Amino acid sequence: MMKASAVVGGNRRRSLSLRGVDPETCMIVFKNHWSQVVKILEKHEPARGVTGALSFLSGPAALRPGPVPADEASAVQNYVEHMLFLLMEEEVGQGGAMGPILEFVVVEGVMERLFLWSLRRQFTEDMKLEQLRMYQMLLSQARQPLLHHKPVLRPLMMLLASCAGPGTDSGGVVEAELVLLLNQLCVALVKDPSVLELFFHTSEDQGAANFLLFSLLIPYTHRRGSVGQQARDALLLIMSLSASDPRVALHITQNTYFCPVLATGLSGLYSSLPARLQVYSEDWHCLAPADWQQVPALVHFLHSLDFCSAVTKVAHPSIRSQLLGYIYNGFLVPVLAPALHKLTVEEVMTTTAYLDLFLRSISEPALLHSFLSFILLHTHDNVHILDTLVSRVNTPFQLGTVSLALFRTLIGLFCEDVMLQLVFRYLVPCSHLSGKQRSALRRRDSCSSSAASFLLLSPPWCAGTLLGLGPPTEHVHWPRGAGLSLADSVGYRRGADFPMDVNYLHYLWDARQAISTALRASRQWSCAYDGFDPPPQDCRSGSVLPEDDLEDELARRVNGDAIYSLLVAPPPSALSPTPSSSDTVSAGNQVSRAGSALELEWDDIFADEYPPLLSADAAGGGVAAEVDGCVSTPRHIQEMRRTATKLVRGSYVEESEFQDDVLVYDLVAQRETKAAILERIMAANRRSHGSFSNGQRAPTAAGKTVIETVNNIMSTRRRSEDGGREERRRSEDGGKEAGRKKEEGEEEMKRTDAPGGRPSLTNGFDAKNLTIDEDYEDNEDDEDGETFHTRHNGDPLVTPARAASPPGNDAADSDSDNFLSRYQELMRSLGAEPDCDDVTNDIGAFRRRVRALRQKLEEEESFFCSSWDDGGEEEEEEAMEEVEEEGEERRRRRREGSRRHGVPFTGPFISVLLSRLENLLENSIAVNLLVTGLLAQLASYPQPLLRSFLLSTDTHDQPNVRTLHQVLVSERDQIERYVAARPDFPALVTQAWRFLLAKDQESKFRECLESCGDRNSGPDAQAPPPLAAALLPCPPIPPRAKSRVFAVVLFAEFLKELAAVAQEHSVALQCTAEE
Amino acid sequence: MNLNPFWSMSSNSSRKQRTDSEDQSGHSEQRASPARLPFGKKQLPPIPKNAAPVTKPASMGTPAQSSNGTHASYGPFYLEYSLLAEFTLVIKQKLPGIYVQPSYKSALMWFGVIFIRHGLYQDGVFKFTVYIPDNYPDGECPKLVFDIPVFHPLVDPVSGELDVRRAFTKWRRNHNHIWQVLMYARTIFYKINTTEPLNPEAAVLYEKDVQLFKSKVVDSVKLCNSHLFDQPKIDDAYAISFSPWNPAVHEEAKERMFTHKRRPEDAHKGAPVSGLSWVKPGSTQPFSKDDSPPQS
Repeated sequence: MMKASAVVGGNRRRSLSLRGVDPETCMIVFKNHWSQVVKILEKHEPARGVTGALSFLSGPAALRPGPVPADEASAVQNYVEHMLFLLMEEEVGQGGAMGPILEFVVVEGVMERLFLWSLRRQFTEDMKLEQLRMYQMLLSQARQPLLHHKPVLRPLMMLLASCAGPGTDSGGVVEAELVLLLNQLCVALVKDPSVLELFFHTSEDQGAANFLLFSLLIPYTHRRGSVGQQARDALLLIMSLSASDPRVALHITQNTYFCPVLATGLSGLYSSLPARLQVYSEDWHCLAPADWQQVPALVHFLHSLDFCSAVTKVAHPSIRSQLLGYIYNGFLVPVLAPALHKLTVEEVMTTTAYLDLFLRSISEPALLHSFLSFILLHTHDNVHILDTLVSRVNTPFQLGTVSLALFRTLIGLFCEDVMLQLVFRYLVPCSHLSGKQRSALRRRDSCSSSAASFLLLSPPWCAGTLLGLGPPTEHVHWPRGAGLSLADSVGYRRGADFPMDVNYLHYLWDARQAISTALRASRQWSCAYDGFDPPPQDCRSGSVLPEDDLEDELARRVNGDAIYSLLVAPPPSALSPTPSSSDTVSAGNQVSRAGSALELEWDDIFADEYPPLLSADAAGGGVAAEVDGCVSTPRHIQEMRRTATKLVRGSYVEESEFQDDVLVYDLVAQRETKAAILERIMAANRRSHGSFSNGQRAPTAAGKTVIETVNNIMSTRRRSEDGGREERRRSEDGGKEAGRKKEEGEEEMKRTDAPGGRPSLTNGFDAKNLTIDEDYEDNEDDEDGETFHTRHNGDPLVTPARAASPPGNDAADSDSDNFLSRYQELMRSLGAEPDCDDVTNDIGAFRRRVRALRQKLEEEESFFCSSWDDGGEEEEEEAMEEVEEEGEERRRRRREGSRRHGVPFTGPFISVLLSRLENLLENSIAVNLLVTGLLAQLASYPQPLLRSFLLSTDTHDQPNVRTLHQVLVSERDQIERYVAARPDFPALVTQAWRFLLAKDQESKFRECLESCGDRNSGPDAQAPPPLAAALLPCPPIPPRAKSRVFAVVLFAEFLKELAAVAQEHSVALQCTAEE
Repeated sequence: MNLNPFWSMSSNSSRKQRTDSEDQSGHSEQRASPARLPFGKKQLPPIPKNAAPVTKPASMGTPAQSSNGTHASYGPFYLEYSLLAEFTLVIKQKLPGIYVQPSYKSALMWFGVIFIRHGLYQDGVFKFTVYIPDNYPDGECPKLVFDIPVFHPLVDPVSGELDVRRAFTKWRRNHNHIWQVLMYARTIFYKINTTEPLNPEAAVLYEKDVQLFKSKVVDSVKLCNSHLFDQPKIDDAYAISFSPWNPAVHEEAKERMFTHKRRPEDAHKGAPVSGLSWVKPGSTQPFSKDDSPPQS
């Protein structure tokens, strides 16, 4: 506002003081000046009249008799300066009355005449500026209220109206001054709401839009820079005014486009965001401040989002709900939803990162409500956004990583609705618990047994190396007194024993913080989620899923689970004579689970990788997921798949983005690695799998000849592979559908009836096999089932070639996982050591070898098949009953089965997280950090259902519930196996461990420094820690091994973290329950 | 695996290790200084050889089993947290008329006082000490010893020890808790049991001559109360001590206690975290609350 005075010359005069000057003298001076001004004005005023003031709007040109001489203009300006100064300095009159000068101004219509004078002088930009600044100065410095007086207010409104008109935009100077003035007016308005009446009134008088002040601000809502900021501030002032004045609220919602402008503005700004982000590292997973600050469009969008947030916070409820409605229906649904379903992985990844950033930026619960209900309840192509997002966690691309980060944000909101949809609605039925476990839910583990069980999983060799025989009780006693101080934590550099356990105290401390945060945050939740409140039956009836769909889904799941529980791996004792083969043969359950990270949305990525060999089956896997669940994949997913498939095949030329061959090869390599990973993981996991599922198989194996037993085992393995795949496919499929609505169910039915759907079920193989496939496992049938699925590939978009492949071929081939494992097995039996890394390195060689071995494989397979006919009688009998039944009936039965068995299913989200955790050794460091971080975050929630599910280490009565502890056990076995083959590995891990701990402590140290130094925390997490690097260089770990080495370290640290969380839960004071 | 692999293993071989730790903790005890954390300050006493919470048989050699070292080092954490959990449970129980406070020197020793508000022992204020075995929760049940032997059939007239074991013949981890012991200590003053007494005189009197028993009890209560302002029997920073009412000291404390009760919920430090919920109680549906912002 000082700018104004510079022009008007106020600066010079303000130093003068009128104190002590007689008010009457001032008045005389003022009148004198005014008479001088009037003389000049009248000279150029052809038809002086009150109406003239308004006629400029209709025909301003007619009013201009000719240019005003410069000297006269400047004379007027000088006089006016003096006058304004006198006016501003005038004190309020006696008893709040107008001072004499103001009264004179009002009576004489001084302001209006001055405005008209500006118009006479052709009303150039300069005139406007002059006028605007004049008012700015008056408003900011006058000692008595001016706006109450119509003769002051009216010309002001006319000025505003004339500035707002089209074509007045030149260089933005006027705009800036206009907005500044508007801002001032709003401030005045808030200070003295009684002026409001006049504002409305005045606007009506002159026929302009009601509440002109507000209407003028709207166009600047989304403006960048300080002008926009000022306008938004001004608008916010009016918004806060609206909260107390319903008339303002009514006007805004009914007569202005404020809310639509705001919401569609978001859409507009969103469309200007980069559709793809150039990501600088594979570990990148979210938009940190340092990232988005580099993208002006994003900064701008966030400002506007922030503004929406602020408006919802302060505005009248009617405005708030209107705005939120427009944001939901004008931005989220029409813009963000399609953006989340774009065609390329990169675009989707970018949108996901945006969504994550938006969620992190919104502070206002009401706005967050809109975003969250969009995520949780909105369906795009009949799929809930949430389900789509969950399924993407499993994608192998960076999209998966970014999705993990998004869920980290979501979980960090401590929003009951989110947690209900993600986790609790699957846990509330308590089907994953036995009755005893359920009643023990609220009890706390006061003996640290869970913590002990978790820590027991720490790989012993690294503990041995690292801990040495350090004094075990040192850390509790903590001689320096409760110290988590830096001096202690960096003690390792003094050559003292390695502080592996020192950081256990940190974990305890963090866990305590996290738990108390979560406890406080969930105080306002609607219920305790402790197995009794809400009662277990609630979530079934009350689920978003219609009863039928849910039942159906559960049925499908239990079917899968039934397979799982029956498909027991051979008892470990039976395997022990042939340890080497036990490494190569694998249990499909684990395989498929481990592989699930790759398959959910990307099942058919492999489709044409090995056209003659594997494609049919792999394709079967992909399509089966659709047909099996009787729910077709929504188009967007199909398209994404297609795109990804093209991408991976290197034939993606649809758009120019992916011409970069390197990228394509990268992706291919990624895929290949994943294949090798699968193989490794399935080998490693099998033992643990066997350990909790044996005993059921044992009786059948007893009392047979050795050969029989061996054969049996072999075929059991095979069956479990196939069945496991099937099971997982189903469960994932179910996971995808978890939240779908009824229409979908209907659609599902239609699809089932469609030609090329169910009817061809009977096509080509006998009903017995089919039935068994439907309900229980059998290797042959499973393959036949896949054949069926393959032929049912109704979607012409997805590789029609597959549909043509003959069934017999399919039966002979197995999926790639299977294949790899058998390949390895064969290699070993031929005396060669199959190295996975080799496999991944040379696809061509690999394929050649694969082809060479295929023959043998088929032979062996037929051997497997023929040898399998015992041990399954019961199942078969049961299966036989259903031979003649139609699909619908079968489904009903399964549903009943589901009721019988209690249907343990803990939801797609948990299942996806555990799947990613199972891939620990193969994940990138970023992914592992996110996955373990998410799980720890979840484990810190105090709700007994979740807490006990994640932290309980009891062996479950229901073996088909996969728990975190089980996954960790299998992970441990995997690691041990891996290390057993690599004697030098522990040393690497130790080095890496030291390095990471040092780095961690270094960053803690820096945090300390930063928080001490009271500067605004600009640097983000990405900024590399030069200090740490200088102190302790990263050990020379071969790049290929790096992520695996770090994964092992992370595994052990994660165990500590979980143990700490478990321990802190046992001592947390749950004030909520009591108070 | 059985239910709890870690704790349920039998106990012999880790004794060697404990011997080491004993030395260690002996040192650290001397260096101890008051601590910042509310619970972190407790020092565990030296762990005797025959009491090891870490009880995995150490069959060294194979890597799978040599994890003993790792877990031995966490053993103290388990003990500490078990005790913390017990103390938390005591707080949650809000036992009427019973106050306990762990010792400054050892988390295995808790000081307590019990106020008897009616019955034969009315107006009795009995100070006591709870001794928790250092292999808790796998050992014997904790001991409870009254500072002054109360005249009671179940209280040893010489040592003041309460016969706790009759109520907890076998201490079962995760089922038995220290608050139950405290509760039991309170119960005996309201419901008198004379079978197999530690104080046969009291038992006989109660059976044969209740009047005399009563007068003896009154005497005992008087005696205890007359020693109320004595220095604590055990010298410890957190021992419970009584002093006569001194307005200068106690008035303010009392004030604080009463105002503290009505403190706002979030007296917590740290950034205020507000959770979100639009779930209508009892509905288990997201966004079912009526006051949710409308979604057109």
